[in-house]
Amino acid sequence: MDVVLTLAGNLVPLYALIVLGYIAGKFFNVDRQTLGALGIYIIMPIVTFGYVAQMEFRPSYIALPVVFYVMITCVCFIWLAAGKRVYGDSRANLMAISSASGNTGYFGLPLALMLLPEEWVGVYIFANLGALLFEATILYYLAARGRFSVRESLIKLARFPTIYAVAAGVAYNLSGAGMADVVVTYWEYFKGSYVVIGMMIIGAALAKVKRMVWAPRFISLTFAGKFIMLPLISVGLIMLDQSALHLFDAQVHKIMFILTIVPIGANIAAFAVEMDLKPEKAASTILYSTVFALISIPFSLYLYENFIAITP
Amino acid sequence: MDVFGVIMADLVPLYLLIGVGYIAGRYLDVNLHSISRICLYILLPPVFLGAMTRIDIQPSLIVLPLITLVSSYIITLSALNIAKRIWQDGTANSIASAAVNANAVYFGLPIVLALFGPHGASIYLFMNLGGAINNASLSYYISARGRFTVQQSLKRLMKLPVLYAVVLGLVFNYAGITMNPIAEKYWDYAAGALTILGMMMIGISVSKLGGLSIRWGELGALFLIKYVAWPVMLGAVIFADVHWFGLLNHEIYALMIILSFMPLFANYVAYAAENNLFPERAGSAVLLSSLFSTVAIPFAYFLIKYFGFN
Repeated sequence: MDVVLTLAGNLVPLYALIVLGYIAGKFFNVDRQTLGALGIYIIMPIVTFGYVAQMEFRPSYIALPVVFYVMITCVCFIWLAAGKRVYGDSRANLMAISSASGNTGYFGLPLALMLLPEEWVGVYIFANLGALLFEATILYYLAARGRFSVRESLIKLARFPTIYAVAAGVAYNLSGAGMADVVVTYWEYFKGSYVVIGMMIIGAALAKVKRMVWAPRFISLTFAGKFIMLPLISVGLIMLDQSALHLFDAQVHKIMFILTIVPIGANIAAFAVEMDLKPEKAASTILYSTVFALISIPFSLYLYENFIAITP
Repeated sequence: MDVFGVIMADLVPLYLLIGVGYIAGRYLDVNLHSISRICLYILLPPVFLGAMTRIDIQPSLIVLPLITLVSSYIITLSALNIAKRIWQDGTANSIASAAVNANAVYFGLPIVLALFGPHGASIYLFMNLGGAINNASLSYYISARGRFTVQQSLKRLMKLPVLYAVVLGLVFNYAGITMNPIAEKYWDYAAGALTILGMMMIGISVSKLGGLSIRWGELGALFLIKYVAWPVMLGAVIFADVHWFGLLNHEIYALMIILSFMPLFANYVAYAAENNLFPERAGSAVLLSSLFSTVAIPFAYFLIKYFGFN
């Protein structure tokens, strides 16, 4: 139990930042759009570029975003089918996308920073491209209620600045040019900004929830997909690789696991508005899942380290 | 020459950040107020608090914020009185409110961190407290031109979170509470975010202005205050201490010299805009003085070397 508590203690600063973001959004009138624009267009691309440029790139990593994409797509469609049985209306869609999409960026990256050796964070970012692909295809498909076109999906994908940052990072990485000390220093400053601003964005977004909705059945079903099924699928794949395939390192396994234990992504709230899908229910569920993650993440990691991970 | 390379290498990214801020303000519709609130209320307090737990308290250190406080009082009030004889249209208030202190934290912190390390940076921040106090009270009061009473300005000062952070940090320090590795890591994050957002604020504020506008007389007065009055003032303090008091040490002299050559503060643009005191001219002056730092900061370092304070 001590390990769980230590891990939870390590999460406290991140949660303190979420609370500060909440306070800033609610009482200091800090503009969420401002934080979002800085995060998406300036801070995230720079941090992404730096990590990808410095990582030890292996061609096999190209499989990671694909594996991650397939994993969350499976969860999404299984939960969509299950939800249709239970609800038979659009709540099934909301349940499916909430279970499948995680806050792998603003929440997940600081978590990865905390849990992984520095040189592996680039691999995390790379694998997380699968989430962008998911957002541009499946989420968009469900949001548009079936009116899906490959062209518009590609346009959506092309709008993520992160894609260009990763591409530039890979190119720079392969060119073999190093980064000057002063560049690394300022890149570190951006990393700090990412953690601070990213967490505050989560908090500021939560501050916009006008009315909390408590829907026990919906929440438990969504959580079952998000916090049980998704991690279990990833554990299954990890064990498969450990015992039979031997394709990836222990660190890569851990990365795949981290990607599946984060709370529901904040973008789901925006999608819910777009889809006219009970935005308040969506926002409340995101809030509950973020709070729940404070307990579930240390617990999941504890189980992972003790029963799944094979230390080389 | 090597250290000049270090200083220049550290200055270039700061200018790039001003440029990024300009782009963010112009094309991403980033809101200046939100950023300055995050800096003031969320980032500065923990950075100051952490820094205060790091310094070794000696009674002599307590005089540092007093020195900057009194210096900024003297410089600001003299500037106001002299400038009032030359300009009758509020320009004097604008100049005096800019004279209070410098962009010593956002601009200075990365430079001081690079040259003096975290411990030097902590003393540097402590020294800046005087400027921060006057910035929130005196500068604000002068730029509001009588729209606020002294009481209102003091009330505003009491709302300055940094003040409480410093007191709390010193209490922690006295009680022997230091930062653990996690706190150190988040201190680094917050200091990094402060540098990025603080520098971007200059660019953002310039992007929101109708254009740049320079009045050479006013600019000359500002540069005279910034690059002559401040260095002479703190130079006199150093001289007095070397010859008579002997309270401070070489590291502190060096930090004072660096502090005295810091450029104009971006807050000045915000106050100017708020009080209709020629914000375009304020923005241009802040930009030009930031650019002038490419000369001023290496010169400050030259002085430190020359007097053997490093």
